[in-house]
Order: sequence, then structure tokens, then C-alpha cells
Amino acid sequence: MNTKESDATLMLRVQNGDEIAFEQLMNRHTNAVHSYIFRMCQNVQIAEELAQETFLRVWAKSKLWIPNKAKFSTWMYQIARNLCIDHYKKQRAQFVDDVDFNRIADDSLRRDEILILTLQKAIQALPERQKTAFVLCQVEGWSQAEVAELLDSSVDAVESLLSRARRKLREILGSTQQHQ
Amino acid sequence: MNIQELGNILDRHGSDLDQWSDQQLRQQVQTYIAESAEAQELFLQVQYLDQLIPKALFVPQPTNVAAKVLKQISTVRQPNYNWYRHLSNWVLKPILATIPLVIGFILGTGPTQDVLLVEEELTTERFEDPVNYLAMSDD
Repeated sequence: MNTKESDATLMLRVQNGDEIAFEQLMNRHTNAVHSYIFRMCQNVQIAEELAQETFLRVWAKSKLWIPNKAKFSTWMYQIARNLCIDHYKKQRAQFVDDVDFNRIADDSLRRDEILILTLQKAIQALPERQKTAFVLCQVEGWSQAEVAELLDSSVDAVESLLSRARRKLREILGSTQQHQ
Repeated sequence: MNIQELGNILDRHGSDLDQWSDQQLRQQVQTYIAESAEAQELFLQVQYLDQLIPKALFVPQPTNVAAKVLKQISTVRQPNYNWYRHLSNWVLKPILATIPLVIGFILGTGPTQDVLLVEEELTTERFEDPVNYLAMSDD
């Protein structure tokens, strides 16, 4: 019989230094954590480094996780998010500088490619909370309630973050289309 | 409904009308889009945005992240935080809670009032007695 252990059960084993349980947890979550981080930073190498660091911290700080206080996944994504924020602060100038979206337009690129590139830059330029809400809800399929828990916020606030993010992207897309 | 309201609604709910739980809102939006060329243009733009987002957020597969982490964990200690939690809950927090009480007690029972009164008496005696005051002057 092969019953799938819950994240919480595996984490309790990890707290006692069980590497096999930790490997199972990683196999379960690596892709999702990596894709979240990649979507936040848009850099292959940095995404892998931060994903590794997330799991190393999960291992090292496993005893700080309290089962009834937070879901394991929420706690793990908080670690990943904090790492992204630290990275974001280091790279602030690069992200916050006004992006001249029209300069991206290169004749050699097809129209869709230009718009995708523009959109990537625009998503990168979103404020961190908007970006987290947008990536997790819109792309990773999290519910607004789950994102609210991660951001320590209300569902209404998450809805507002999503709405503002989408409006900004829509405006930038419209502006780029007009210039083409 | 106007174009700005439509924009706000589409920003909140996305362009996939079938996914909307509020049927009345969906009907209102469908009616408005059918009647207004401007609304149709906006709706198409939001649909296009929704098509582009997954392409813009394409993620490459990570290369052996799990294996690299497993190699490193043997060198990473798992510190025991239990002593810290117990210390914090049973020692530090009660101590912090009593600090304002202790400060209040010290301020309330201190000798401040008596010292002020004695100083006031000395000052009055020295400078308001005309004989003493004259004796202190050169003339």
C-alpha cells in the first residue's frame, strides 16, 4: 500500500532530520517554487539559486515551522518570497527604472514577440505585492484566500492588487500596440 | 455602464466570461459589449492580454535543483529553536511585561517632591532676607 503522506507529516519528519522525507517534499514542490521565483525575477540562474536557497532554509529552519499556525506551503512560499524581496532590493535600480517600452520594439521581432517582451518587462516592473498576487493567482492557480494568507492581507486587498496589476498591464499593452 | 467601469470589471474578473460567478454582471457586460464599439475594442484587448500572459510567463525547467540541495544539506545544521521558544514564552515576555510597572513604581515613590521643597526653602532664606542680602553685597 502506498499512501501519500501529507506535507505536514513529512515536515514533522524533516524536523527530526529525516532526509528522505525532505527529498519527498522537494520532489513535490521544486517545480512550483522554482516557477514562482522565476516569474518573480525572470532570470534562469537566479531562479535556480533562490529555489535552492529556499529549500536549504526549509531544511535549516524546519523547527521554526509550527503545524497549526500556517500551512507548510504558505510558510515555504514566505521563505521564497522573502528571498525574492531581498534580491529585488539588491536589483532595485534595474527593476524600478522606468522602462522605455517603445525602445524594445525591434523590426526583427514579430509583433507578438515584441508584445510578449513588453509584457515581461511590465510584469517585472510591477510592485512586489502586485506581482506576487498576479503570478500566484493568475498563473499558478492559487485562490485569492491563499494569496491573502501568504501576504498577511485580506481577500479584498488581494483582489485590489490583482485588479491594479491587470490594469497596468492592459494600459502598457495598449500603449505599445498604438506605437506599432 | 461606461467604458471605465467595464475596464474595472474586466481588470477584476478577466476576459473569460464563462468563469464569472455573477451572472447578472456577465449579462450586463455582454449587453454593453454588443452595443458599444469602444467596449468591443476594450474587450478584445483584454482577451489578447489574457492570451499573452501565459506566453510572457513561460518558465524553463529547473536543472536538478533537488539534487543540488540534497548534496548540500549534510553540511547544513538544523538548529534547535525549542530553547529559544521556551525562553521567550516563559522568561523574556513576563520580564518585558513587568518593566513598565517597575518604572511606574520607581517614579511614583521616588524622593523628588522632598528634594524640591528643601531647595525652595534654602533659596528663599538666602535671597529674601534683606540682612543676608546686604551682607553679601560689596557696598
